[in-house]
Amino acid sequence: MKITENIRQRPLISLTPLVDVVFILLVFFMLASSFVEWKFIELGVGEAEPLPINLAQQSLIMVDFDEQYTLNEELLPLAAIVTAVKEQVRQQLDHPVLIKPTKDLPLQQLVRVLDALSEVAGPNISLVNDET
Amino acid sequence: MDIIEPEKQREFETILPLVNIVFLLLIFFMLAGAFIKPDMFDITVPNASIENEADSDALIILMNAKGEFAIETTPYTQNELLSLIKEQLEKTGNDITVQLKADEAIKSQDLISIMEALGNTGLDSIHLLTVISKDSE
Repeated sequence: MKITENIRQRPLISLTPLVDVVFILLVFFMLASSFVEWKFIELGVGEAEPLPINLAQQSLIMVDFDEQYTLNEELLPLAAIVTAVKEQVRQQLDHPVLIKPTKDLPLQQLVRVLDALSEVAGPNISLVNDET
Repeated sequence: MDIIEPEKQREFETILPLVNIVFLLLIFFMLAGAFIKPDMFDITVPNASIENEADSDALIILMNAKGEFAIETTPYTQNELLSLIKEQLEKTGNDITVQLKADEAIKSQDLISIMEALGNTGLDSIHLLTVISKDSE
């Protein structure tokens, strides 16, 4: 009886070094892992033929600083532009949507427009440089 | 002697729940976390509410606020980048996904000019990486 007691009390491998190693592994995985969820906006970059700017057949959205947006040269809030484009795309599935950001516009402000429009006009969107 | 020994064992047994929890945390971080890929630049990507989940095995082009390019930790000039993509397109038969991790502060015309240049290599589309904005959560 006494002998079996002694065996139970002294395990062959001590737990402390094992716990040490597990702790180090834990700290390593905590520092080395990232939980950022990357999302993406798909942008077509295929060689576009220079389309004649024909307002009747496409939507031209100009994006300026301070959230100034124009749809076919008419100043509108972003929500109204999204509704108008949605209607156009509903009528004609491949309705081209051109987005022309003003010179030096930071990407974040362009992404805000792309974000709003990509749900309604997805692959129809193309970006145009402001030549002026 | 006989009294001390069982007490020691009891002490030892109380750290077992702790070890269990540490093990669970370890397994959680191993399974749920993706390894951080070292990047050449510190890039703040733009926010959006888009829900498209980005592929993790795509070619990621980094573009910092100054308009410099890199892939992982190697800097690239625009021409080197374009020839690399052309090469990849030929090797894989146009079957590559290119993700652009661009800083939120870059100028739109720089984005458009790199997109036009990428289009000339024969690429159809790029994925502009974004993260979910904190204020929309």
